[in-house]
Amino acid sequence: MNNGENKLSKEIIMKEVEKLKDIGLPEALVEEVKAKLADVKLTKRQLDFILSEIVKEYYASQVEPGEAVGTVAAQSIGEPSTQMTLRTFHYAGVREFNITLGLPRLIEIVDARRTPSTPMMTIYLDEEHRHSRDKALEVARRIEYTAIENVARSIEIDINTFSIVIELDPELLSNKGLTIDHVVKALQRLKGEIHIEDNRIIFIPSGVTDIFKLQKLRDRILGLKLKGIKNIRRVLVKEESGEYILVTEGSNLAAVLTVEGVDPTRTTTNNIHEIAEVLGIEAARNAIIQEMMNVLREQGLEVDIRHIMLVADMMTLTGRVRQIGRHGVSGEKPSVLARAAFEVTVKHLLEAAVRGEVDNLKGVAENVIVGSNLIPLGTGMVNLLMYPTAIRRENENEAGG
Amino acid sequence: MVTFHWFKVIWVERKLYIPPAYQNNGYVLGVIMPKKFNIFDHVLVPKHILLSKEEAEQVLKELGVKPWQLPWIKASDPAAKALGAKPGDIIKIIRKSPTAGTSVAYRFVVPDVWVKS
Repeated sequence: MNNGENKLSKEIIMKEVEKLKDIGLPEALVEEVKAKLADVKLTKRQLDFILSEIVKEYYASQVEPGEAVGTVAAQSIGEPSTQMTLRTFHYAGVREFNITLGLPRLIEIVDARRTPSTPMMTIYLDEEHRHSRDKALEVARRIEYTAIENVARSIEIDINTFSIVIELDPELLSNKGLTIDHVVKALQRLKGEIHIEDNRIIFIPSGVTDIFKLQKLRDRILGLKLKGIKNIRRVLVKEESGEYILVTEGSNLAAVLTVEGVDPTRTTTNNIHEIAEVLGIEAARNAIIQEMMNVLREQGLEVDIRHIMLVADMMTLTGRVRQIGRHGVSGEKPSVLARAAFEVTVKHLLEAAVRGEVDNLKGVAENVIVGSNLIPLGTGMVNLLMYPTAIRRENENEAGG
Repeated sequence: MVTFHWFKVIWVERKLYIPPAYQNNGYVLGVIMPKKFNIFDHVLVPKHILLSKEEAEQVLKELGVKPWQLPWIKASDPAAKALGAKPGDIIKIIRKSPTAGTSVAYRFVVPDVWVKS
């Protein structure tokens, strides 16, 4: 037994496997091969055979040129989604807390709505705050938007004295970590006198003489901010895989990321437009993939992530989040006929005629419409390219030389 | 009586149109967040690399495409801003992919006026 029949050492095998990366095999596959071959004794010939089979299999499993990947993706997402429950609300782990899931949520993502119907944030906490409930609550208090109406028992108008009487609930106040002073401070932003009697604050606005103005002022006082972040209506502390996290109703990513005690590297929201604005288009792409996969997984549906990635790639192609539909991917197709085939045919044809648009018949839909016998798809994608001028030049060169 | 004739002219140029506002190399980057937070630390944001002119040309040659045929990224995109990318640049993005481990993508930096919002 010699010459190529000796068992190779582990290092040599790993080095050989590593070479697969150079010929274009994905990292994940190479790592898998490495793990599989870690404890196997092989000769050089066996290893070469295995590797060549892997390469062959990899290229055989790639998508062929001209494959209609978009159509396949649409079918692969569309079929399982017919089995989704139409029930909109589900609670996500925490009781009394609803978020949109299932088909409505999927439609919402694909439609790229400005704001989701139930905006929600998942806030992770930093090392100091993630291990105890009290510390987590402390951060939650900092984030939750609190207005005067959240801590008042009643706010009434006294017509006799033209004043507004605010009766505070001391229990609610201490719950939110506030004192009467906070309320007084907030009121000082308005013009008027402030008198304090126990838990009652009497506010006498200056220069208000009619009741309608007083009513308006009352509404304004109701919404006066005491603390917190705008749009974050409710914050719940939740335990998840050994650490405390915050789940919020309402979303304001840019502001929350700067709050003390928050881990800004993991905190996310379900509002994809907000992610695109704060973290960029690539982050939005990842968010679309994650959100869609989560919805599908929640319903127990298995859709290959590659289809979702294609959708996300299409949605973020132009550097902003576009919807799949008439105001986005489908509505911005360069071909007139393809657009006309999608929706409101006459409008598109008329506008194209007015503008003098040209259809190059490069896509599938246009070619089907005009009835061409070669649709650019699959084997129809193959083209013969000939440059008559190049050939002539070559001939001339030959003649000259 | 004098009549005025108005001519409508559409200027067609073969080179990439960049609005004057973006042509200045030293334009000030907007402040994204008050507290210092590097968006590239966020789990959702993949690695972005700004390519030099030579590298960009190499990439385009390898892929056999014109720059505008790549996916786009707005010049005002937070990631592009953080890199100081200007319209016309190409950004290399190294994504973490659940199927391939890592995958490389490229985006062409375009002025905001190109992108309908």
